[in-house]
Amino acid sequence: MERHFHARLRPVAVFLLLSFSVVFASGQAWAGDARVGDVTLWRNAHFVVAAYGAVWLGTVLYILRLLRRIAALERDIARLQADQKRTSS
Amino acid sequence: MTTKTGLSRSPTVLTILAAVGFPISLYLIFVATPLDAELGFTQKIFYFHVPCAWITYLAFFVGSGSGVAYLLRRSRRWDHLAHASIEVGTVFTTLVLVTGPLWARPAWGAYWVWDARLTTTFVLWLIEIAYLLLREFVEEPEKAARFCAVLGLLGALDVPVIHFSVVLWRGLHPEAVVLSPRGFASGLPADFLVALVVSLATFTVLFGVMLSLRYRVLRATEQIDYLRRGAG
Repeated sequence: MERHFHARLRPVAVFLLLSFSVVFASGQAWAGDARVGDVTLWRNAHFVVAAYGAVWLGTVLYILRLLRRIAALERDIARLQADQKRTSS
Repeated sequence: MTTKTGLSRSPTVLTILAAVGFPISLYLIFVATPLDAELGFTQKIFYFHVPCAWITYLAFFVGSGSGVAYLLRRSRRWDHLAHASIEVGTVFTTLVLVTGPLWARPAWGAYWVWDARLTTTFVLWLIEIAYLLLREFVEEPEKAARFCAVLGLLGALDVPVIHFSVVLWRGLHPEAVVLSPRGFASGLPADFLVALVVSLATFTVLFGVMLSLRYRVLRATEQIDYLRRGAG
């Protein structure tokens, strides 16, 4: 089996890393006994925007990675088909 | 053997739709929708926590449905679709489990509680991880496909349990606001609903893009294996 486990789970790891960075950051902001009313608008806004950014950045990176992988695989397919044609002729 | 199917050709249209939907949803969420009176800005997480949960359900229904289709027809296409769907679904379930605690901390004062909704969602995430591990570590593709189809069905049984857990077992997690027992989006103000619906649509399209791309990768990988076996 050529597909490596680590390579296959890399996009998930990217998401986890990004997402847990946000959790960590929010933990820093909301540390202590902060209640809803104590959390300032700036802090709330900052971390919500960070969470959105992490999700969308992760998504874009994942899609780009898939597109690159598809392009590489399609090149391999074309090469293998050309090799087969050459061998058979 | 070919990799060109309707599903593999669709990403261009879906990608354009997602690219258009993304700024519109952000505008609606951050500019057009007023702040929640109690939770303030934190409530904005709702607009991607709920769509991520919806995609988790959708991915499992597509994945388990395709798994059943594979068991009935033994076509590799169905198996690839099931695999792609569960894999993309795992990403969204992870996001549900991350965005939920982000919201829970200011709302409940704790990142995590062993509430029925949270626990059953966590169980689904474990099933997804088990599914991916099974894919990797069972060497024979046919055997892996069979095992995963059955595991996918087991996971699908957890989806209604997650959805109705807030009704069956009272906990901290609020009841569903979109597919509510009291009617569709009952109790949600109109401007909140518009932002949520646009966000749901954008995430659904995004799921379509990711699913079709992952499907293409799986098809192409199998085609390469097939060509190499032919060459060997």
